[in-house]
Amino acid sequence: MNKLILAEDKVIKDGEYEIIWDKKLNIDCRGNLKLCNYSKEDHTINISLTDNSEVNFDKVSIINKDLTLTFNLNNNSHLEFNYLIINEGNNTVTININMLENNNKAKIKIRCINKNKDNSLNVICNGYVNKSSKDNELTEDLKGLILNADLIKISPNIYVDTNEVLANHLVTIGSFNPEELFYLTSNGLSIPSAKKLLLESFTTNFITEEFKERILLEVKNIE
Amino acid sequence: MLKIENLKVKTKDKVIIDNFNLEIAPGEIQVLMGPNGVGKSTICKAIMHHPDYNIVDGKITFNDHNLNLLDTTSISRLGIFLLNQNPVEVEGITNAEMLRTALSERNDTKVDVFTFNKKLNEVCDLINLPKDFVHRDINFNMSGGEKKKNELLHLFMLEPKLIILDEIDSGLDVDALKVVGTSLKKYYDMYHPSMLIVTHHSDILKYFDQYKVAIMDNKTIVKTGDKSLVEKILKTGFGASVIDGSEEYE
Repeated sequence: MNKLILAEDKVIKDGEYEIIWDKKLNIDCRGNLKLCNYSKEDHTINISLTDNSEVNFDKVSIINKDLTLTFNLNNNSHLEFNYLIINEGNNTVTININMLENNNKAKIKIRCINKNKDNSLNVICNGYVNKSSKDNELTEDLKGLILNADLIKISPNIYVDTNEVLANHLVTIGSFNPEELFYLTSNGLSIPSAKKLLLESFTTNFITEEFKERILLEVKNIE
Repeated sequence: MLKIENLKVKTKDKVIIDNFNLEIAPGEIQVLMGPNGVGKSTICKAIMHHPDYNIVDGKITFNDHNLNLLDTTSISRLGIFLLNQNPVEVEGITNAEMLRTALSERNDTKVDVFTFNKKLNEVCDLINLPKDFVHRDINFNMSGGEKKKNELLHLFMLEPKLIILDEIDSGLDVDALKVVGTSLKKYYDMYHPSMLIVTHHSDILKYFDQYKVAIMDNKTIVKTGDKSLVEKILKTGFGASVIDGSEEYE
């Protein structure tokens, strides 16, 4: 995948890019785009999808400060946003999805963990569906995995000001699934190995294969 | 091999099993039958130390190892394998990943990739399993029949000495039952493991020549016999006449 370093507000057209930015930016997406970003020093970004655009965006953030990401969808646009948050410290991540006009689809999938047991993460996912807009679909699928005595709070907010919309959200926050742990240990895995495999699966399974090695390196020492 | 003595098992403060005794010798097949809800699956899970089932009294030993003192991992590594009626789906972890980890941990050495892959291929051929199952997520998005076949892959790779089949035949169509039954028979002929088969039907039993039968009711075993007891139950059900012997049992 080509690397695209964004130094200023920019229009990105059809293609597949790993995008990198180091300050607050506004991006216009046009056409068919497959984007990814792996960031250890993240910055606010506003992404607008022009009419008839289709954007698939896989993002990983290792965050140590508050962060806001905003997506604006106008007409006939599709957004699929897969987002892994690995948190260090006490931080809030806000994701805004603005369905401004008609016939847009947005699928937001977020997975998050804390790196250390004294960390606290607050994820706010706001979906706004504008008044008088029609035929928009919004799905928020948000999961937090508690590894120790750390804290994860997820707020799946959907603000709908129209009747013609399909909007839903799924949120789960919890530790490892005890049935999965039992299954793996009853096949001979030790508890630490079972948890390691489940953590690797949780963090890498839904995101582009390109980031797998980097993510595994990041979560390797989390206990 | 397996000895269960005076076992009492609770879940959520409710006694499910009480005064349960059972012995399975090496190479012996023991069938456990009984009406719904008498605790048959509880026995399977209690042997493997499922966290929801607490052994509050009695003792389970396997080849002189006191299982009461061991965790699930250690019990599995002694060579006990539980094949569930509804195996858990584990999204994101492939069969190969799990098996490689299980074998390398059990043998305390890194698995040789060539040997491991060769064996996986051989097992797939042996049980007529498509080879892409090896790299599929564990039981994820599989049909009921596919899940059971997938579990057979684990069975053949881990080579247990005691197999616990918890209603393996439930929900299987005729073809899937045949694959599962013939595969289990192949395993039995190759390795002569002990088996505990929990079932409501005789379908899976037709693949085995000799087995003992125990009937459970009211938290414990109420009758034992040979394979003719199964035929009796299939004819008359688990009524009192079969259990208390008032109807002549031949």
